[in-house]
Amino acid sequence: MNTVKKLPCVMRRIADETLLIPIRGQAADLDAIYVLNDTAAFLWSQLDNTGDVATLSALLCEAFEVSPAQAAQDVTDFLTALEKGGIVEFRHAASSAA
Amino acid sequence: MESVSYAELSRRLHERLLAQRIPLEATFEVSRRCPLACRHCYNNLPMNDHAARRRELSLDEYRRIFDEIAEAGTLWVLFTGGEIFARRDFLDIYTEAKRRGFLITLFTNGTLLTPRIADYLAEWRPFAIEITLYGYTRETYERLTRVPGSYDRCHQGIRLLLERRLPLKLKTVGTTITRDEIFAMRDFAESLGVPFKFDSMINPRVDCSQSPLEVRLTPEEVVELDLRDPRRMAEWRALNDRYRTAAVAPYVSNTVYDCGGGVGSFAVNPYGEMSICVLSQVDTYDLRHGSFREGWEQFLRRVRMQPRTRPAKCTSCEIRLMCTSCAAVNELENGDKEAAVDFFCRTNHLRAYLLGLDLKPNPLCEYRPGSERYEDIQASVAALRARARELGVDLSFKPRRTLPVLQGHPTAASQTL
Repeated sequence: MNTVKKLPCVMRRIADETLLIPIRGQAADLDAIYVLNDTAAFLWSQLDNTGDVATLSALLCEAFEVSPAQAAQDVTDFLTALEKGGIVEFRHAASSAA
Repeated sequence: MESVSYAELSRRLHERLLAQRIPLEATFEVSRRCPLACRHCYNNLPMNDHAARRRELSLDEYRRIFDEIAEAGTLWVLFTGGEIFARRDFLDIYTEAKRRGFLITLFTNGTLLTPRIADYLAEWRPFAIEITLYGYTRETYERLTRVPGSYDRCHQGIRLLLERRLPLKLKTVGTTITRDEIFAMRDFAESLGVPFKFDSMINPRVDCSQSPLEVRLTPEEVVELDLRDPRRMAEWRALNDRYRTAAVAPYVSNTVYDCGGGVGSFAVNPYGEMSICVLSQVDTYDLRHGSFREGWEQFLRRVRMQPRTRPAKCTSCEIRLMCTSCAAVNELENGDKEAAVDFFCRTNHLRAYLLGLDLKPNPLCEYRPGSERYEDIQASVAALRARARELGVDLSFKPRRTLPVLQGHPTAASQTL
């Protein structure tokens, strides 16, 4: 099972915009900034409690009343985008057990 | 989720949030102490000014203020001085700001940078770092800074940042001492692959001394520098074009302040006094004895809404938006927020006339047709046109738009106050 580790970022809510601001490491040197929608903000908050991808999908399913397949896709899309920006790191089951 | 560029984010937030009067931008002067003694500087104090040091905000006070401004919606934070690294605990202050998710720009002269500081910044990366160069040659640099060895220390600081691929920008200030080396400094910056800009707007000191004005260029010299910088000329031309091709609403300002200060931005001096901007020295709110919310929502709102007390030439000046003067500059140089500073007014009119703008008579403005200094300024414009021909600069007007476009003034935000 895949798990995810958050790198140091701060989620800022300014008026009705939710921004994800990397504060440390190379990710803080990005040319762009992530603006989160409600689903993404929810997922980012949940990453404080769990890094387990399957659990995140289940939580999303429950909170936003979407199908398990849609939730799994949304979680994957969200985490893949963040991984590209160096904001999260995937840990695969084999390596996390080692 | 979407990924947007910082420029796009800035445009989006400013367009939407200024109307709500959210303090998006903060400037903190963390110390006025500085190891340099630049002739043009408006606020520097000696490093060993212990009285100034004792008055500076503590780290705990910064923590409290950062919490409050984050809650209020501040996103961009600028740390400036004096010299920011004059404070030995500056990195602690900086880290507290980083932890709150501000996008931080650092203004520094670079002379106190060490490998340890540079390593730290490489780990806790700022949004931008701007170093001011005070000359291309050692002789010029140290003639302005009045500190032997400062040139080498500045260049060492630049190297430390570049080696760590930090987001460095270089800039300089146009003075009677540096003017002949500005474009050599630009070429130096380009050779390093970093952005460069310069500005020639010198103000008196905050302690009322007029000494910086001794190295201030004349308006004619300032505009001659524009002519020698194609990028700068393009920017002035674009701004100037608005007045010919766009049906811009007539500029009317009934308030003393007509900038973004107090609408979307504020400044805090080293002693915790909040104001419209770093130049505004009189109307201040003491954050040591009050909350940011009260200071922003009540005090600065009142300051920003101060009505003009008398007619002034700036009140209905149609090229006001090209002018870099403001109430704080007027206060600093003339001791009167409503008394325009001639240096800025003449510079602005020279730019407008040079680009061929026909300005209407205005009995309150000495540079308008029929007024006492009109012929005098036109003689300067003629000399600058001749200089433009020597430099091969095309000053002819090339319309870019065929239809009038209505564009709001930035001051529209003030109407929401």
